[in-house]
Amino acid sequence: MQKNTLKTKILDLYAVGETDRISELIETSLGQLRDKTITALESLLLEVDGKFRLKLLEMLMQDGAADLIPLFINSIRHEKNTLYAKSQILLFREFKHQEALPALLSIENDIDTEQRPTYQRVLGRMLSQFSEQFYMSEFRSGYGNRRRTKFAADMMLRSPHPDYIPFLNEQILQNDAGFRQEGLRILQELGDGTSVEQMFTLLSKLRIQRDKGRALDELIRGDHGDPNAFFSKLNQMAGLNWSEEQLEQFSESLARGEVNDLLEQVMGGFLLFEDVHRKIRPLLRDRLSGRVSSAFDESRAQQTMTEYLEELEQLLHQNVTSMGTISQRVEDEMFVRRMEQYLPLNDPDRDRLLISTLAGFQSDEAADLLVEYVNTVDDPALLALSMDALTHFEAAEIPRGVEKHCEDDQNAILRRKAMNLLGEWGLGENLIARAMENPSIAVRVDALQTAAKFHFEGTYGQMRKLLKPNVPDSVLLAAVEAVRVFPGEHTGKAVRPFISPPHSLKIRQSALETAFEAGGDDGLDTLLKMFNQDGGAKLGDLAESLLQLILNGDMVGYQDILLKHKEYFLDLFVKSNEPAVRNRILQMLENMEISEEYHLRTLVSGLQKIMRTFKGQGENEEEYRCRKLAERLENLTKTRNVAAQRTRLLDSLLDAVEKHQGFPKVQALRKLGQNYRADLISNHPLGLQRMLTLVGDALDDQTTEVRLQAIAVASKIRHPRLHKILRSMTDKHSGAALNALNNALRTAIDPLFIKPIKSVFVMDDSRYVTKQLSKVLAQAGFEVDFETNAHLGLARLNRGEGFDLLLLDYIMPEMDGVEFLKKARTKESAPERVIVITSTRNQEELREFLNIGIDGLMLKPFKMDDLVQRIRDLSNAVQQSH
Amino acid sequence: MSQGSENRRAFERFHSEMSICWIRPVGEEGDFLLAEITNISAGGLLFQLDYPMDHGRELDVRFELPQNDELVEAVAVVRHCKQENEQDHVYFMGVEFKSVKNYSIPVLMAYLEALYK
Repeated sequence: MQKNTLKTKILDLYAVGETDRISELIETSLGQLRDKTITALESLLLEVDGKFRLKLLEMLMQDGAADLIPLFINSIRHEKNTLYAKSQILLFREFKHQEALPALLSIENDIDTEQRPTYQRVLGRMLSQFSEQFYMSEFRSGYGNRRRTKFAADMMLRSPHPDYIPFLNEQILQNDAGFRQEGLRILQELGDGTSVEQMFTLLSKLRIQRDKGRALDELIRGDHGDPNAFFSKLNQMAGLNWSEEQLEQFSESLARGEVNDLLEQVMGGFLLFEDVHRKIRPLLRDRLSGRVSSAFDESRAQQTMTEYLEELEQLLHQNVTSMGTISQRVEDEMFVRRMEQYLPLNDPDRDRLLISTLAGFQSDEAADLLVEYVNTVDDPALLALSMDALTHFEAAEIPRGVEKHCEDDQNAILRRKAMNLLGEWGLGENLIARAMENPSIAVRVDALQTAAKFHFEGTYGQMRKLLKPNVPDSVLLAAVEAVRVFPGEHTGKAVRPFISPPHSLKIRQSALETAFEAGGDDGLDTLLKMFNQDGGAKLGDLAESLLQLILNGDMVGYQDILLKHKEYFLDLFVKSNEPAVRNRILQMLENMEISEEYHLRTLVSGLQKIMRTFKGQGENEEEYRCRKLAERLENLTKTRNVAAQRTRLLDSLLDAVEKHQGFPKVQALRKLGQNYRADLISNHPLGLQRMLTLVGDALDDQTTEVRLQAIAVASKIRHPRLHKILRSMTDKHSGAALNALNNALRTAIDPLFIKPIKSVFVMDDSRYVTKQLSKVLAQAGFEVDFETNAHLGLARLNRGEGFDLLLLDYIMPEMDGVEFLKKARTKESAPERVIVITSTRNQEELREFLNIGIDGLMLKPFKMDDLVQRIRDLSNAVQQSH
Repeated sequence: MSQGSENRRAFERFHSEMSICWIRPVGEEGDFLLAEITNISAGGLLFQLDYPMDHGRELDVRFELPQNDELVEAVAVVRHCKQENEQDHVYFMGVEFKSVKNYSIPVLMAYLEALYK
C-alpha cells in the first residue's frame, strides 16, 4: 500500500523533525511511482495542519511539473488560514507551465477578499508570462463586443504566436461577426494550411447563412399573409426537418397564439447573428401572432437585414481573400483550382468570390485569370471588382478590357477604374492622351484628372491643346486644374488668358490659382502687373482670391515681389468696397518684416493717406489696424520714444482720479475719458492695470455722479474686465444708471484687448505641479513661467511681466488663491485672464472665486489635454465673442 | 527574500516618459497632488513627489494612459517612500494598486504591455 505507507512515513518523519528526509522521500517516490505518490500527497495535504501543508507544497515545487498543478489548486481552494493561503498562491506562481494559468483562473470565485490582492498580482504576473493565453481569453470574452475582440486581435498581431492559429481556426467558426472578422484579419497574416481548411468550412456556413438570410429578407419585405402561411414559409426557409408530431404541435401552438417557443426553434434554422436575431424577432413574433407590427419594428427589421446581408457578403469576400493570401504564402499552387471546384456553378456570387480569391492569391496565374475576367466579362459589377483586384498586381501590358473601358462613355465607374489602373501601373499615357480628344466631355474630364493625379507628363501637350476658349467649360476647368501639376513659364502663359472675363468665375479662379502656383518664377510678378494694369476693371472680383493665395503661400519668399507692387495694394485698399479685401491687404502688410527705408516711408505715407479717408466718430477696427501698422512702421524709421510721453500723460490722468473724491473725481474721470486713447496703454501694462482698478473702484463709488462718469469712461476704454463689472452692476441699478450701463455694454470690446493666450504664469506651491503643468503647457506651445512661493509669485507679477493667463492653485501654505489674486489685482499686476485649479468641492469656496471674477475653474484631478483645451477655448472665445 | 520585496518584482515595469498622476490620501479633503510617474506596472506605480507619505497609507490615484479618454482611477497603498537626497526635496514613492476602477488588474497589465512594450 504505497499510499498509506508513504503518508505514514512522511508523518513519522515530520513528528521527529526530519524535514530534509521528507523532501528526499517525496523526490524518490515521485520518480518511481509518480501517479500514486501524487494521489497520496493529495490526500495527505488535506489531513495535515496549514504550516506543514505549506512545507510539503514547497518541497513539491522543487519538482514543479505540470501534473502537480491540480494538487496545488486543490490545496489553495481548501486552505482556511488566510496567511497560508496567500503563501500558497505566491508559491503557485513558480509554475512555469502555461496550464497553470487556466488552473489559477478556475479558482477566481473561491478566493476570499483578504487573499484577493495577492491572487490578482500572481494572476497578473502569470498573464504577463503567458500573454498568448490571456489574449486568447480576452478575444473569447469579446463575444458580441467587437471593441474588446479587436483589442485582443491587435495584441495578437503585435506579437504573433503559433498558438493563435488553431485557436482562431476555431473562433472563426463561431457564429459571431466580430470573431469572424477579427479572426480572419489575423489569420490572413498568420494563418497556415489548417486555417484554409477551416475557412472552407466557414465559407460553407457563410453561404448557407447568406442564402437563408436573403430568403428571410425577401419574406420580411413581402406580403406575409396569415400566420399559418407565414409560418409555413418561414419553416421551409429555415430548412429544419420536423417530425409530423412536432409540426402538429407547432400548428396547435400557432392556433393558441403561443408563438414564442415556436419562433425560437424556427429562427434557430437561420443561423442569424445574435444581435440580428434580437432585432428582427419582434416583427416575426407579430406576424406569427397575426398582429400588425409597429412601423419602428418593420423598419428596424428591414434595416437589420440589409446590414446583416452586407456584413455576410463582406465576410464571404474577406474569407476567400484571406484564403488566397494564406495559400499563396504556403505555396499551394492548386488552391485556385480547388476554389473553382468548390464553388458551385449555380452560386450567385461564384465569380465575385473567385475574383476576391484571386485578389488575395497574388500570383502570376491569379493576375492572368483576372485579366481574363477583365477581357471577357460584360457584367459591370464583375468588371469593376476585377479591376479593383488588379490594382494589387503589377502589369507589363494593358489588358484589352482595360483599354476598352478607358474611353467608355456609358459607364463612368468602369472608365474611372480603367484609367486609375493605367495610372497605378504607369502605363498608357497615349491612351489617356487619346481619351482627352474623345467627343464625350465626361471622358475628357476623367482623362485630364487621371493624367494630373498620376503626373503623366507625356499628356501635357494634349492638356495645353484643351486650353482654348471654345472648349466646353467643364473640360476647360479640368484642363486648367490639370496643368497645375506641371509648373513652369508655359503653364502660366497658357492659363493667364482665362483669368479675365468672359469665362465663368469658377474657371477664372482656377486659372488664377494655377497661374499663381504653377506660373513659373515670374508668375506672381506677372499676375500683379496684370491686376495693376487692369485697375479693377475686369479683375477686381478676383482680388480677394489673389490675396488669399498670397496669404496662404510663402510670404517670406514673395515679400520682395509684394513690396515691388505695394502701391497697387495701397491703391486697392482705398478703392475696394470689400472689407474682406481690405482685411487681407492689412493682414499681408502686418505679416511682413520690412527693413528697407524706402519701402517703410512709402507704406507709412500710404497708410496715413488711407487713414485720412476714414470718417465717423469712433475708431473702427480697420482704422485701428492701419494706425497700429503705420505706428509700427514709423517707429522703425524714427528713434523718438513716444511711449514715454504717453506713459507720463496716463500717469498724470490716473493720479488725478486717485487723489480726488466727489465732484473733483468726476472731473478727473471726465478728463481721463476725454484723453484716453488705446495707444496710451499699448506699451504700458502697469498703467493699464492701474487704470482698470481705479475705474473699477469708481464704478463702485458711493457717489452716483462718480459712478455715472465711471460708466462713461469704461465704455470708452472697452476692456473685458470693466465690461464684466458693468454686467454685474445691471442687477443693482435702474433708471438713468441702468440706461448708461446698457449703452456701455453695447460697445464692443477694444480689439487691442482681444489677443490670444500665448504666455501663462503657473502659481502653485507644489514644485511638481508647477513643473508638470509647465511641461504640458510648453509642449502645447505656450510660453510658461512658474513660481511655487506665493510671495515670490506676487513679486514676479508686480515686476510687470505681462502674462496672458494666470493658472492659480487654490490651496497654498502662504496664502490661498483668493488672497493671492486679490493682492495681485490690488497691485494691478494680475494677468487679464485667470484659471483656478482646485480640489475643493466646497460650494462656498468655489463661489468666492466666482465672485472675485475668474475665467475658468479646473477641478483636480483633470486630464492635461482638458486643461490645454480649456485655455485654447478661452483664447478663442475671447476672439470670437468680440 | 521577504514577501514585500517579492511583491515589488511581481509586475513588469514600464518606463514612463511624461506621465503624470494625481494623488491624495484616501478620506482626506485636501488638495490633489501632482506627481511624476517614473514607471508603471499593473501592480502599481513608482512616482516622484515633493512630499513624503507614510508606509501603508492608502492613496486615491488618478493617472492618464495613452489612447484613453478618461483618467484611470485607482486606490493604492504606499509600499516605500525614499528621499533621493536631502538637499533636493524629491521623494521616490512606490505604491501598490489595491483596486483599479473599470479594469481588472490583468486587463490593465495587458493594456500596459500593448502601450509600452
